[in-house]
Amino acid sequence: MTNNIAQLPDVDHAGTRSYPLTLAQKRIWSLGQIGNRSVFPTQLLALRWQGAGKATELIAALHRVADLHPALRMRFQRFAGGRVEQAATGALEVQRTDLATVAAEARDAALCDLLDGFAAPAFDLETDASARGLVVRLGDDDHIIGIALHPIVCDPASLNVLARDLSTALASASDNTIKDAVLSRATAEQQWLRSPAYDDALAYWQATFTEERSCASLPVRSNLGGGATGLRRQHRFVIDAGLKLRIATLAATAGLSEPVVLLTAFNVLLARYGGQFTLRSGAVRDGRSEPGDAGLVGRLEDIVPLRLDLSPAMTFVAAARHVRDRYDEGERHRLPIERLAQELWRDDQDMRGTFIASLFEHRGTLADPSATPAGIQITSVLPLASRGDADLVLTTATDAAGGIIDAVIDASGELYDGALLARAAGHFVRILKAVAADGDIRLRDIALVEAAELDRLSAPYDDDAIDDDRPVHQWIAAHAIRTPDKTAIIHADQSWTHGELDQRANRLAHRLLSAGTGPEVCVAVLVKRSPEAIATILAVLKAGGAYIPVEPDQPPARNHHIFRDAGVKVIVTHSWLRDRIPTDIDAVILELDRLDLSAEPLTPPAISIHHDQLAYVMYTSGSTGLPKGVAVEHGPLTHHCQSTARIYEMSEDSRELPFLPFSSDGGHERWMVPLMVGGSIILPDQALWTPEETLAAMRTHDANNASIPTTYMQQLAEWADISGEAPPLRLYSFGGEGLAQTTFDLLTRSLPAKWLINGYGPTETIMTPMVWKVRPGTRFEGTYAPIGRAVGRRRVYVLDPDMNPCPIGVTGELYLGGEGVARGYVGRPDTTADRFVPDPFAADGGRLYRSGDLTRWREDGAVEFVGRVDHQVKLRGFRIELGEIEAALVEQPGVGECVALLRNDDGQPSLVAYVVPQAGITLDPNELRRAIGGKLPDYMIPSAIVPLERLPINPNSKLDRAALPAPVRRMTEAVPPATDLEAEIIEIWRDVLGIIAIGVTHDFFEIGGHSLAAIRILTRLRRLRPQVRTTIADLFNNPTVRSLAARVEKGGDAIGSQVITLRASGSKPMLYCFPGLLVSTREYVRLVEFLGPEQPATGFICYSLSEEKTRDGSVEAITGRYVEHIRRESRGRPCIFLGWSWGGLLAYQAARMLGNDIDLRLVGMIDVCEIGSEFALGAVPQFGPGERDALQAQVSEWLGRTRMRSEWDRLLGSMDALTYEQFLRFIGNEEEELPTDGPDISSREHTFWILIDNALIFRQHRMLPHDCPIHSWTAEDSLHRGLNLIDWRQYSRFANPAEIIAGTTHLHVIGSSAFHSRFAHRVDEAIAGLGHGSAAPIQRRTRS
Amino acid sequence: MDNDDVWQVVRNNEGRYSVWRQGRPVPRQWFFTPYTGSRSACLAHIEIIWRDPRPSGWGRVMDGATGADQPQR
Repeated sequence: MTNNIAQLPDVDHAGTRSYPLTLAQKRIWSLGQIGNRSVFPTQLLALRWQGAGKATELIAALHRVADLHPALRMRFQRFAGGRVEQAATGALEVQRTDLATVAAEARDAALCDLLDGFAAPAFDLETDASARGLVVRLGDDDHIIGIALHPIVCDPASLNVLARDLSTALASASDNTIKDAVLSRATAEQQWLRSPAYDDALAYWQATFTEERSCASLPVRSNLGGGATGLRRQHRFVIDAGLKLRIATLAATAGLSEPVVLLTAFNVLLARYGGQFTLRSGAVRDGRSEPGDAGLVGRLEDIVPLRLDLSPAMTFVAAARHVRDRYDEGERHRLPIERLAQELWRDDQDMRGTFIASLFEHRGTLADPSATPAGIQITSVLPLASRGDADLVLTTATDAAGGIIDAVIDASGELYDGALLARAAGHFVRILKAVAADGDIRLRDIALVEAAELDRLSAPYDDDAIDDDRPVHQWIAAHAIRTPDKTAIIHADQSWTHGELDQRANRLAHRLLSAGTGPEVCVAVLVKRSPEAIATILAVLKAGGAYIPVEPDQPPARNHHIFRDAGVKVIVTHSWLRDRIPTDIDAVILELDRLDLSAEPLTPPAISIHHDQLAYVMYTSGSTGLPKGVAVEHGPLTHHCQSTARIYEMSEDSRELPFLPFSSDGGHERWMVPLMVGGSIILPDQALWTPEETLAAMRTHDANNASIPTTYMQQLAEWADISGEAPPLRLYSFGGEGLAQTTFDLLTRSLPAKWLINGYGPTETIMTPMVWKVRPGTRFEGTYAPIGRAVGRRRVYVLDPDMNPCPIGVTGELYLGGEGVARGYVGRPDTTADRFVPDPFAADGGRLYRSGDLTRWREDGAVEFVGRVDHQVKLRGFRIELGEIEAALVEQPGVGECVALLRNDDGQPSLVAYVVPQAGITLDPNELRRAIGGKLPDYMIPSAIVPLERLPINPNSKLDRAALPAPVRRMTEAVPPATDLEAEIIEIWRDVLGIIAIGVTHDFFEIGGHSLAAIRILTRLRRLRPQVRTTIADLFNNPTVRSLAARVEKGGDAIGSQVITLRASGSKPMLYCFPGLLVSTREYVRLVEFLGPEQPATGFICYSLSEEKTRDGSVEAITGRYVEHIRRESRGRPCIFLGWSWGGLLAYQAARMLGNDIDLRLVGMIDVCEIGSEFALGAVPQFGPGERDALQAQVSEWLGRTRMRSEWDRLLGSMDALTYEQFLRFIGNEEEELPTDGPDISSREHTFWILIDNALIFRQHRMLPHDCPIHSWTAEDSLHRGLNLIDWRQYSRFANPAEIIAGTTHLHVIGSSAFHSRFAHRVDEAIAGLGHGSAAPIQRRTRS
Repeated sequence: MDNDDVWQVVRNNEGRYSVWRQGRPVPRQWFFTPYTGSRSACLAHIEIIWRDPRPSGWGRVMDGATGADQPQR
């Protein structure tokens, strides 16, 4: 193997003129500055040429191509101030390697390594050329040509151009036209951006995206981790030749293009996965449409945003035409995506997530054989390159040789797991197959889930036993014959044997028969949970009737409704409960305590039971209206109980403690099943036992099973965790509510058991139709524990609104079908028909019950509970499950109950969560926000968390959502001024803030104060009391009229300080926040709130607000004031710096000046840019003819008028000749007139003065290396703007590449909760190991 | 009413009623009845016509039987 470098002399074609960068190029440059190479990766071409000549000929061809395309020889120069220009002054270096001598079997691996090594090194655009070449000899007439290009000069479509040009160059050298039109792109772009065409295009997009924007994406992982990793995942797949042909046929018949069919199929996939058919996505467009653009190599592509209005009923061809039309429209109004995103991100409301989350790109054929000279064979040796400039990108490319389509999905690894991507790819292909077979198929009729998979996912627990048809009571009676003396029920101090139970039931059954009980006759059992209640129920069943359990403790209105609604014919009760029965009811009433049954036979009545005969009616309270009676038949009931017994592994050894109430059907399952298998139950004698009593009962009676409501399970586990008193059980089963992982972990730890069963089931599907049976310690990913699979003769389906099965991981409504569903609602045929619908997956006329619960299938077929259908809301295009927010909050320590909802107060939709603290705990809403910040996506964080003493309940014992209070900014009573000074100050506040109802104790910032208002107040205050030099810091630190007045009265040293206390105390190291230019330090308040009560924080007043306009201005002098304070306060102690924008430079300078005086743990840098290029050292301004003189005259005239003449004279006097020229240029570029409203600190002139002054300060400043730990963040929009971001790695060896905060801007990033949570994460890392509050030993980091 | 949103009253082999969107093949052992309309209109119609909640097989058994000795399915 040999290596050498072949280089031809520099070529000077287009001259060495420099050109500016396009917006797209600026963004890529900025990404390079912050160390990101994954959003736009290196572009790599590697083609194998057989029959094309010797290596020297290939190299010559490569150089000929490099001559044609400046992209292969571009160099970039960065000027003072950060302006970047490009010039085609480089030369292509071509590396030669010979692999011909490598053994054939090792050659592929060697080639792979070689190409990896070739592509891997980062380009340093300021020193290297923008591309490098490679020629690898595999044989005499068999070579690889490789070209690696920086993405700033090359897009994927450029690679096709290069492949074609190489081919041409090898065949002949006919085309020598140099393709340098690409260089003038930026100039043309700048002109266009100032043209009316730009305004039109922008207006189009503003109109297009005004409505709710549903950002299309696949469902993201639940339980997102903390910080962003930038990790990407790829999934490759192929559309085979047969399908490709059918797609081509469909496209041709429908008058569409193949890429449009693929793009439509991709969006249909997003719609079906997301359940939203109005969506926003994007498509990559080759930017070579204009005449003269063909054959250019450069970063020319555009992104066309798509706002699609599809609908489930649309046919595919109609959808594709819609997509095509929207694409064409978008193309006509195309606008650089960098500019478009920043134009559309105007306010806080838009700043949720990225502008385009999902992107599609179709590429033409690389190395098209039809364009290849005869005798030459070209093959690409690289897989299709993916792209990383959206959360999810599908790239397809036609492989001409194979007649197939290559495809690759590239997606954020933080958001998507690999299995989901693979499935989505499979479903994309299924969509294509379906539409290729029938272009007029409606979108909702495309089946994504295959029959075999649906069969697997919907299947119940494995159970090959055959149920027998004996009804429940006959099963139980059988044990009275087999084991009459065995204990059946333990209740307080009573113990009933199987024999006693059966005899009691038999005698009562005879009496019930004579009272009119029979098939389809309802008998109300108004008896509290007891052995007698069970005997009564069995008696009703034995008499052929249907029982209705009525809890004596329930509200009389509810019970009266039940008696009437069900047409109850017989009521069994106790004499002391007689008054609970309405007097006007037409029913036979039997009082158990007054019945003499001694004459009744001990044997059961001779009655057989039909499979479809009514067994019971259970009343459920809906969230609205009156309780509905759910009617259940004998066949499904007994089969369900038998399957349950097997899955729960119940036997005559089972001794169960059933804790569920008799008002729920689950409570009946839990006595029926143990008794059916000959076991025993320990029936609690109170509605509620304390955890202590429960554990004691388990021990006393040797319980081996317990069935407990989820809510009570938590208390029980907490108690057991403390006391360690829980006896080992075989099985705990629970249900009734979502079970969070933390609760599950707790009960796993504190309640020893062999099995745990999480049960789920609406009454309409009979008791517990689904269970998740696991060993303790099992982990799960979702918010709640899975609800598992179906039990017995049932199937469960997760379906979309069109009743299509949802793919794994996609949220849909849960439907339960098969034998194990109820007959329906008593007396409500319409509601029954509405909720029990034809089962499209069954052949026997079966029905599915529509549960109203949102769920998704896991990989293993277990179903996960997500939330209620009616608790799903949409906010700014995001579908949000309120249950997920609630679950995240309930997991937090101290939170007892929680409810989240979407409020619409003042027409402004926002998420609000209400939390009820556990007894004796005070909840801090900010702390809760912070805690859930790392668990939920940004758009799911409630904008307000309101602590309540208790949740409002309606008469149905359900949460009364309407009664939840709107979160209010509590305006406390206005306390009148007590002194003259207070009265004077309050007058100023009222004037400046325009609010009359101000009291002396109101907080300036809470009543709408901001820094400009603060400055106005100070200006007025100084006129009032010129002798006291009050500063803005005084107002910030004393934000009420009363405290400010006290400060002014007191006078003294404190006045005039630059230090603002953001939070005075806390156990963590002090956080120092450095101010940006012309912004107050208040912007940091939200961050500090987020960081929590243990995080002390100090801010500094921006010098521009401090009015100290002394011209010793240097960064060192400005920083020096802050440094003094920090040294005094934190010498030898750990601390953290944070600098936003210009403040980052101050933070860095402070870090340098303080050196080892403090233990600096972290310097956070947010969007820190270098100063603009106008005043950069050495930047020579250009003027049009006569322009300079005119500007000069303008300045003289202006200086004659301004009241800040002396300040300006001082500033202008400090300028050298070049700086003054720059100043004139700067004025010439300003659109507004020179201001003369100074010198008031809030005036525009003052601001203007500060800007110029600051520019002068900065042009003098030199950044020197200093190794301090730096972590930086960048607003996504700043990249779009191509801001001149500082790469801190050039100054500190302990600096990391910046993290990108998606969907936010330079101004808003400081308030972004995505930033807050990531900063908090880094702070935690930086101070890990420190005992908070203690002065830990300083770990000195010195540059070695 | 949107043409796409027409529903039909359906009845199964056991005489249970429900609704099904027109244009979709009705599941096996379910049969269209003549009534069509919006979903809510279909449900309102079912409220009028579905008088016997019992599955039809059991209804026949029960109505035909006298006394307690009914054949077990």
